[in-house]
Amino acid sequence: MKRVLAADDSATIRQMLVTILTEAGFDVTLAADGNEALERASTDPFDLVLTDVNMPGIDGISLVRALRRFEAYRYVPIIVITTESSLEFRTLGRDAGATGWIVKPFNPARLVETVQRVLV
Amino acid sequence: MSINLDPFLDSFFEESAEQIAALESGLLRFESGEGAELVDDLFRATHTLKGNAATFGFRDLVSVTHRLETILDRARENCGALDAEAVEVMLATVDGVREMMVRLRTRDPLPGQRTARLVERLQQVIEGITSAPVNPSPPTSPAIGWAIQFLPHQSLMARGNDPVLIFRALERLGVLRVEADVSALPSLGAMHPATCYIRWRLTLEGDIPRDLVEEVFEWVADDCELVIAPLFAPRPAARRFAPPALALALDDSAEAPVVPVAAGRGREAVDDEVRTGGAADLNAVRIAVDKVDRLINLVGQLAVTQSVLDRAVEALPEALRATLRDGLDDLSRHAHDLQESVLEIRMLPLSFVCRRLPRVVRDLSRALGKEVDLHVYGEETELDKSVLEQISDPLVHIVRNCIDHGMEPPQARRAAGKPQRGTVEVRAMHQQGRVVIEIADDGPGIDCHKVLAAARKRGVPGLSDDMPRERILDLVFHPGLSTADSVSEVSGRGVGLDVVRQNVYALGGTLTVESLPGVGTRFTLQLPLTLAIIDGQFVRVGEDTLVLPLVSIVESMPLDSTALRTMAGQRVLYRFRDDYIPVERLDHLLGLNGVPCGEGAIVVVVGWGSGLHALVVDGLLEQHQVVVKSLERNFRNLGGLLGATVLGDGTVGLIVDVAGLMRFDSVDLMRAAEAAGCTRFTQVERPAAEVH
Repeated sequence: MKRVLAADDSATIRQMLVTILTEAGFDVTLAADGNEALERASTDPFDLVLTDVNMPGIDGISLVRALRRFEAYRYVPIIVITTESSLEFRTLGRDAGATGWIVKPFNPARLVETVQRVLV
Repeated sequence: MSINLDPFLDSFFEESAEQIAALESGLLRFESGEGAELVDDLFRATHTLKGNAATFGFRDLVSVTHRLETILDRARENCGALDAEAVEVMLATVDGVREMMVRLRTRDPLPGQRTARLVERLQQVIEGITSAPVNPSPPTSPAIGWAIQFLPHQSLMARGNDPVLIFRALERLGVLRVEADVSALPSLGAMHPATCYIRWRLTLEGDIPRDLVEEVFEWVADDCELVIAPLFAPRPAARRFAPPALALALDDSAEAPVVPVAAGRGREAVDDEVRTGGAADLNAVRIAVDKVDRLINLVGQLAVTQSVLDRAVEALPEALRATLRDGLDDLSRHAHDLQESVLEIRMLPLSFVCRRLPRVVRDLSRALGKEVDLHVYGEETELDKSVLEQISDPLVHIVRNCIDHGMEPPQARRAAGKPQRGTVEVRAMHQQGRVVIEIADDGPGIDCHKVLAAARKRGVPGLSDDMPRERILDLVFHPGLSTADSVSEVSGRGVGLDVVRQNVYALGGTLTVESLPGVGTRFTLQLPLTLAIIDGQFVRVGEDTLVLPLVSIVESMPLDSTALRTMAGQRVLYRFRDDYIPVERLDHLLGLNGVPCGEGAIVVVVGWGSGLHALVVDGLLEQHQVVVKSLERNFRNLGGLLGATVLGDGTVGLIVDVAGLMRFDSVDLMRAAEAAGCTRFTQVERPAAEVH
């Protein structure tokens, strides 16, 4: 089972991510902010990281940058969850080494599709 | 794949309420000139709110929060500057958003005009800061098939992208043919595994909209040279791929430099302030209240089982009894600990309610031209969620009352030698297993002469000039009594202190007032920690066993028939401590079939303050804690009953709602009820003879 690490500071989004992705057959680990995500990522291997941009502490962009410095996460797909209003974060995300992005609001089917696209 | 989002709605509403509250308290701090460092957090709260709203398809909410977010974003660029006008509009928006939430929750259609007005006002603020944002318009045209040249940069794989995954995605769109150009491949020894050396020519056949194809390449658009051309076009016009959305992003960022989310500089304090609900707290678990209630019920059953066992043990031979008794004592202790732990789950800090107050104080003192500071102490005091929910309105009402009636205008305060700014203090603490909340102002105090005069005008019975001061003060809770010289917008708006006290009584709490002339007034709220478990006094009435909340019992005594007085309207009164109070058989009040009292009937005096009531029962039984089970789920809300509980022998005992019974005392209410054809109220007026 592919392991997904999902970081978002919104409890609602976290709950959605875990429900939707678990149902789609992924093993999901949640983190509420960048620090938490980094901690989880450094102790466990993941096949994919999903992260929100706006988070307290280490934000999503810094998280991507930090993860890319780990040997184990050099080539692991990292998808940034962003919103239309923060298109500039795509550029920032890319520069930090993100594989791609999902635009919020995402519909569940699209989310699964996107994750499958990089993981299957 | 379709997924029903309804299960997440509760979480959405709960979380949104926290974000709205954070937004509000942040904006209020802005107003007082601090708070500029909060702008990032406010932006984030709004941003999350908007994103979540969009996820659930709440378009009006998105449209409003999007504009809020834009304003905050501009403020971020301006080092946190927001002018007073903007804050005012945003606070009004916070109210609007709150209302939208309520309507969304009840699936009540939103009044479109209201939203439009909010949007319009916000838009004006935005335009005041900057020129209107550009609207993206991504027109796309369908194509029959596509010829694609895909020339990855060497760095493509370094970001975790993989050409093979892209091909798979294309394959799902139509018939794909892939031609690889491997001419750039170096020798094996010089090859770096994560570098992309191959170039591709692809044809994709099918009736596929161009944007679907572009979307597949979206993530790698800047990591490759890409040409997408119609497959059957006579002269394919090559152009570098740049999706309209991305082009806009670049324009945007050129115009408005990105300010990354700031880190450091004493964030902890700020975070604590804004993240009041702890949305990001991984150590917390959100549990639906009904799950906790189920636990509480189960724990209650445990107590019942235990009392059944207690009785059974008594029937056993002595030798067996001793060991069993030890075990049962342990069980009892553990059950008690378990009960306390489970109840703790439902406990929430008072801050959930208090965070409404700064806004109330601000708005009201402004409207009245007064200057008032609010200080809240003991916000961390915890009480049961159910109590907390119902205490919010009374608390707000008392605070409003303090500002409206209990605070002089600035010039009057100066003239009285007081600081120009008045103070309202809210203090919460635990006291003897109950929560006490004091709301104190440093205003002029309550004028006893005025209160007495107003009471006389209302025709309140039993008044005299030498009444003790606390009795006079207590009159402020009398229905319809107002000492305000003029009916202000505030007092005209809603309910009086009498209703506030009723509501507090209904919770099993008390509300009292103290006041010193020239010094101020203090309201004291006493509340039970929980509504789920109460200390009960079991009473026998005819063949029924009923439970009275112990906290409501003032005194109980054998019925003294010489203390009964029949009034003109055939109401029966009972003499209690120099006062005559209404008396009634408990079963009559509840509409049960009462039997006349035999020898040894007991009078139980219940109630608070001036609203005492004597209940006649046939016998007092034991006292112990009972778990209150709601009747509303299976029956409608029954007047006079708080709920039911399971008794030691497995039968059901009804719990009397003393606060509800006390409403029978109000003649006005009785008349209204009679007019409405409610038979239960008319039973109060039975002939006196039946009481004996």
